[in-house]
Amino acid sequence: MDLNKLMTYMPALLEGARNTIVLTVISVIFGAILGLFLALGRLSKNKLIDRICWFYIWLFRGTPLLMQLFFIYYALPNINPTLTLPGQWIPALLALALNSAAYLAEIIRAAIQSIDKGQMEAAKALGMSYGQAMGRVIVPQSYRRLIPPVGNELIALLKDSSLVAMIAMTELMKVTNQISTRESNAAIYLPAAVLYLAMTTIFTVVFEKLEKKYSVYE
Amino acid sequence: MLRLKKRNFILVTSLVVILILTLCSCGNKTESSDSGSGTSDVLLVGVDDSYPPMEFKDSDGKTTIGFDVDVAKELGKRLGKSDVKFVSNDWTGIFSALEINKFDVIISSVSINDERQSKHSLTKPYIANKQVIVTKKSTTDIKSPDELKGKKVGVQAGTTSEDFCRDLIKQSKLGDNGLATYPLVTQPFMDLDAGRIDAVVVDIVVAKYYISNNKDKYNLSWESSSSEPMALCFKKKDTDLRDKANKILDDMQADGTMKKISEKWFGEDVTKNLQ
Repeated sequence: MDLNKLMTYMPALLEGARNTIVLTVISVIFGAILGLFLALGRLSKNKLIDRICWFYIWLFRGTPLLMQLFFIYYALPNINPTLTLPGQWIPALLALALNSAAYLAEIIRAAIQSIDKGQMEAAKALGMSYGQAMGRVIVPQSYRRLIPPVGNELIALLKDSSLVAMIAMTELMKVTNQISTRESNAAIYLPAAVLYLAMTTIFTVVFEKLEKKYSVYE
Repeated sequence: MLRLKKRNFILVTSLVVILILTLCSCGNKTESSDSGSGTSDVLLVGVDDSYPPMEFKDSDGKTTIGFDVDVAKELGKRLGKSDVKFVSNDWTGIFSALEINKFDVIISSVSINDERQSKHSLTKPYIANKQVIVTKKSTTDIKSPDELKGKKVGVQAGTTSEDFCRDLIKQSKLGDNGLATYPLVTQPFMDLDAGRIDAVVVDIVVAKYYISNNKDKYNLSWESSSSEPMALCFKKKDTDLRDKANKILDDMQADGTMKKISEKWFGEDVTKNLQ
């Protein structure tokens, strides 16, 4: 494939790449919020909450993401038509967010548990409640330890988002497939790979910077 | 500690703003791909747009074009819709996506078979299709399906080409592990190039497109004598819409629109001689 042809496909590829980034960022934000609650649930003294959160993580980490996507997109409407999620964006985001929440929950739990026990005891000795101690002392200290594994998860999610091409989402992988069938030539996968690499590089650099910044306080 | 908190605050607010903005922008997009069934003003058409020249992307990589696309646009116009939108669904799952309301109709080289007849509402045939065998130029020992024994054959998964090969396996004309299935129609061609398979079974319209693009590479080594008609595929419950479409297809045949579209994409009329 010559360069001129590649340049004519560039806008389509970039549009696909934009959708890939939007998908990744939104699902990781929702995933992180849900993941935080799951992590706190796992650390909860209430056995039932702990079990429920454990079950969630077990389920979503233990089954393939592609299967979860198909389940949400195709199987839910078959179970009951009212469970049909509209369009392509919402089912894709939901599946990616639910899946990343399971991984992020374990990352957050590990980070919280790595904070010295004495911190919680000291906070309580100062008269803080469990919630106050978590919110003001423990969780803020875990940020720095969170950064490297969260960066990992973000990059993994960005790459995994290529799976949503299977449920009619037009993102970078899908656009690449379409162009490759049009050209009956697989060379277009190379520039697409470069785009993926560029996106993951942005995340890598940002997270390295963040890590350095937060290390100042340790 | 205070500085850190301020920074967090800014970070969180900016993330929330980005989130809201992106959600708004996606909102617009999902609205257009939300499907009502036939009642809305836009006809939503499901296509596996990696199937040249039936449905594929133009040279900008964005616009959906092809024979079926022109048929769909004409159908939309004659149904009185203001617009026709294409939803790009992988062939895998395209029939489920239709029945769960992701679009109103599949116009994507749907060959008629019993299973599809019973599960969906198919129109009358609008184009004649055939199964063909494509091999590399250098292959000379495959001239018919009877010569596929011990060979490795590639097809796109879930297509009537796959059904064709499954029948060959049942008749023991093809070995049990002689069949490889792929999600995209190009992939068996790539595997043929790579030498992992010996032949590709595929719809004639697609075969002709790829052969004309790669004249020095492939050979059309066999063409089935029986034709395999294709139809538009509506939801099981949308029989009214299907009946309307049948009438429109008749009109398009009668006034020469079909002939015109066919000649534009195939250089010949493949829409006549339908049983």
